[in-house]
Amino acid sequence: MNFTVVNREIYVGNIKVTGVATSSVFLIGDSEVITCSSTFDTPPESLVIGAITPLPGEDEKDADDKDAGKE
Amino acid sequence: MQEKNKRISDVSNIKVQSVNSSSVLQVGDSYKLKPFSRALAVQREVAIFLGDEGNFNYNTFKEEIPLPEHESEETVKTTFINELETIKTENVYILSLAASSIFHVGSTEIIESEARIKHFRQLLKDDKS
Repeated sequence: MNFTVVNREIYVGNIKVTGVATSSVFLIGDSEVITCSSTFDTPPESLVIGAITPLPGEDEKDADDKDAGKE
Repeated sequence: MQEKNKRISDVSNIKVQSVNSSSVLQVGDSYKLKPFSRALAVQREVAIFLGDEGNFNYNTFKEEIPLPEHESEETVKTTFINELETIKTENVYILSLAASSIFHVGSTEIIESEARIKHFRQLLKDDKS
């Protein structure tokens, strides 16, 4: 199959962007391949009501066990 | 020298307030951009944050992110005809570029961005209603 793209004139006056969000692209130009991927996890157990406790530190290996509901 | 099939980007004014967490503001051509960021987003009713807490040992940061696959039986031959050599823009204002995001003026070949965020919310009481 043949696919032909004809790019004619592009003239943009003003662009106002509040935020280019996580893992996204704002491109003024040409490109070949763009792959944007992101994971965003807000599980119910991320909400903890009660005493404010520190998150498990770097040495703790059981983080996955607490990450219930995944896998 | 201008590469074949790549146009020139012409922007008069750029104002970007904030670029953070592995974001890219690129002016000029590039070949490959591959930003990667990981974040633990912690919201607490009481603003107590210790510097050394938390780790990335969660599935969110380990699991493979699936990409859509295309299984086309026929190959597509794509041709670009650029009637004008420039993409003209006057003014660009961006408030912020978040994790692993890109603002690129100019042409590029490959962009592969990845961001992984896990949220935590810690509240004191349940009787806020």
